[in-house]
Amino acid sequence: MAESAVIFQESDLHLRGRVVLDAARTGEARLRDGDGLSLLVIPEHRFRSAMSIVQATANLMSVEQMLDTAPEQWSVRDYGDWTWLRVFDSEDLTEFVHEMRTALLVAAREGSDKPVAETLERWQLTAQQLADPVRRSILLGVPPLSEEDFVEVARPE
Amino acid sequence: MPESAYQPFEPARRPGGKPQRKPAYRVLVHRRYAHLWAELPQRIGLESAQQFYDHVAFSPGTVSPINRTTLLAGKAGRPWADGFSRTVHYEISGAGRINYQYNDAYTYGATGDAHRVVVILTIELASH
Repeated sequence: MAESAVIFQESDLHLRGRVVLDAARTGEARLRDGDGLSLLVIPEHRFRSAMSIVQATANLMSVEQMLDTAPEQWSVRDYGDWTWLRVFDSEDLTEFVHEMRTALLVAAREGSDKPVAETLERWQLTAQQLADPVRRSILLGVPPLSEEDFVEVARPE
Repeated sequence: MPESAYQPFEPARRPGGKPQRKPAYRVLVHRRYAHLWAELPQRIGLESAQQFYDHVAFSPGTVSPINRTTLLAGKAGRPWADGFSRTVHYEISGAGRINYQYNDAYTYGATGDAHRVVVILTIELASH
């Protein structure tokens, strides 16, 4: 995003507050404090989204580094904030990394953390389903499922 | 003589809600969760249980207008056999979660006619 050409001064906050706010609402407002420090006012959702993308990138890099080592060396710290990933094996984690890279790319380009949040939500939901041993066994097909494993049911009455 | 609305050889309309249609999909449940299926009306309420059944019996591949559906990620989302969908996770708000797959042309034992089938893999119900 291109930097704003207008730099507001401290006095503009009092004399032209509405103009400063409108600049911030539509993109960004650059302010120069009395000591020369440059400040940036942007919509909160843009800041939170950017921070979320940065945080996710750091977590992803940690998981990627972990995948470069043998599974026996993996520690819960390697998952960063995503400790729930520990239920997945290396094959699933590789798929997760691939999906997250795509989500982060779209999020960064479009300035919204929504693709990242959606991807994380889907994987976290899956991790929750795999946490139970019986569900895990059936969902992963270990042992393989067969037709005899199922019974027909009718509409609940 | 005006035609009467009374037709003596046609069954009367079903009282109460809309009449049941023939399901488009056979619905199967994994044996490990058959007991939870039987408990569904008591655990999540008859209306929610029927809403879920109607969803999978008629349109398992669509987004539920009532409850949230998500595709599971990774290997847990893979089809268990050829022709099956990825695993759909159906969430009944605050009451339970059901994972299922569907197949629009399933042939039982590779000998029967192809038909539509839904397999409910797992059922998780909230504690009492």
